[in-house]
Amino acid sequence: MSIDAQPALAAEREARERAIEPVAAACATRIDVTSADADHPAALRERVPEGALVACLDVLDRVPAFAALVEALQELARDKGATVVLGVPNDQLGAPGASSWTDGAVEELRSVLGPGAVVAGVHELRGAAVVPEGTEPPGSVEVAGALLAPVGWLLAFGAHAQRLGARAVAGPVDTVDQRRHVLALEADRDALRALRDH
Amino acid sequence: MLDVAFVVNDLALSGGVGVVVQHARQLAARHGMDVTLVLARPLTDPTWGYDDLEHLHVASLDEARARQFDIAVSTWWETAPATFALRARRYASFVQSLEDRFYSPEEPERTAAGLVLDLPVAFITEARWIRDTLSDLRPDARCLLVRNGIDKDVFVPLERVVPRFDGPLRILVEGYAGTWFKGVNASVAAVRAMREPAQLTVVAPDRTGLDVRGVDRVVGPVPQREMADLYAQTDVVLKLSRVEGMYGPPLEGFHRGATVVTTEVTGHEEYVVHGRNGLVVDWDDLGGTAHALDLLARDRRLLHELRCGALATARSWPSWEQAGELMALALRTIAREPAPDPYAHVPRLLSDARSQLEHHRVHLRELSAARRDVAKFDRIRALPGIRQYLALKRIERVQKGIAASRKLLRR
Repeated sequence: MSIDAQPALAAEREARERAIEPVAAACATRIDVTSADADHPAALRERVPEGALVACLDVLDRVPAFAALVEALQELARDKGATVVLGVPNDQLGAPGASSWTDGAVEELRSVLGPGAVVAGVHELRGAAVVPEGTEPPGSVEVAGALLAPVGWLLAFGAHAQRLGARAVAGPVDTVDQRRHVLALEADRDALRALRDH
Repeated sequence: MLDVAFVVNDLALSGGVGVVVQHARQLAARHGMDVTLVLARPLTDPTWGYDDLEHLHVASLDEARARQFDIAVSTWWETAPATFALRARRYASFVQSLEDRFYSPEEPERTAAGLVLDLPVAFITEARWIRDTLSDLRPDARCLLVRNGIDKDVFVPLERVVPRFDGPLRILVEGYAGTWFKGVNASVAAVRAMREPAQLTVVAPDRTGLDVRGVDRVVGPVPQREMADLYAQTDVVLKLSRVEGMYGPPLEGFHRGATVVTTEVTGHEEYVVHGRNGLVVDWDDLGGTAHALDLLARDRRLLHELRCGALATARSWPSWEQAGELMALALRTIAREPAPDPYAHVPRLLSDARSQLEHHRVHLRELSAARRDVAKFDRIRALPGIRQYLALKRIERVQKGIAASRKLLRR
């Protein structure tokens, strides 16, 4: 796993992928949905084979009209035995995209998907590792304390939705590089202020 | 294409009907549905303009009876009989509140409003507390959640909140003072009890029963765009309601940079977080409410923080367009899934009717006992001697004599 400038985001993506792995293992193939599929749900229906994993991550928040896409995904789960995994951000923590996703919106979507749907919160973690010289970093992450507001959610429905796993991923943070980045921002700000006052 | 009927009592400019009209417009304009607003009774009050009802059909119950719908949706307990009078493949109920709470225990409407929740329908509701309650009451029924949107073209979210460190706290109270559960006069009284300077605006669609003591200005009824301007000139929306489904005014205020001071009325938890975007006060605590308002008037840093929190909440709240997406999904889900067993809930319906009957019988017994006590008291008052004494007491000279005698006796 490579984690560069945005370690939390990269870890979030990685954790989501690992949570989906058990679902993918039970499915024949994986099809990734894009924003363009929202405009052409019929083409998506054609493209998805029987028993596929349909991953629709970071798409719903980028399209204002998502009802037709969600219906197409429901149809794929119903008629072609697909397992669908939707990923949406928590817009309470930032600026919403084309549509807005919060815990309320997730509950709305869940109510439409029905009782078989599985909802998983994607939580950001902050931690530290103690690694003696000559020793490999620990292979698993122990999460201490209660989880708070998620940064996003995964919603799974269809044949293998129940296989969505609980996974935590942590990656090393380049604190020296981060500090350098903050210093650069501060220098920029000071320079701009000086230019304004000049 | 889905053929949908929303059954309404009227097209009055009320919040509840407004929500139905907004959904109906979205479904017709953006989701290719054929939507009819069916009037359960003839129109009497002011209604939505025809511009607002573009893309929609409006039909009387008789006209609608001649048609076949995919889904017929009741929107208020009184519209349930008219809904079932329509021919439809599916029946649904759009529940905006638990409507029996609008009535006192003595009112017969309370029973009827509760019983409609036993009908064989799919439920669509706008708040999580209603969904949870319905799921407990009716575990057999499909219950879909579709929150109300906000018209973001009218209640345009501010770019940023400008801090206000000077001037009186600008408070806005809105609602019908004559409706007991809206708490309008209690809100006015709480502002009157403040110590810090405040400027109170009351937006009253109807001034019946409004206590204007301490109010700086009363306006209304006002169109939505004017309301948006009023919110933009407001620091705090004060809302002391006792019954709500999912109230819109504080949320509209949030979009325009106002925070809220509210009771913990049902629906507040949908978006109000104490200390983050508003303050939650206790029931019947006018002193405490006045203190909360005084705090905001004094601590302008806190006021600014709450107003910023309110604006952040507003930004992530769905528009009507997004709410329409969810309503379209909900209706298509109802249309696709099998109809509920019409007989499954009959025992519960009958048992609820029976328990309401018993409740009413107890109430009648209490009333009858009270009547007997009154009759007994009247007979005592009519006894010789007592009757003459009571008659004498009504004479002014005798009253003076009694008062003088009491004074003497006290000495």
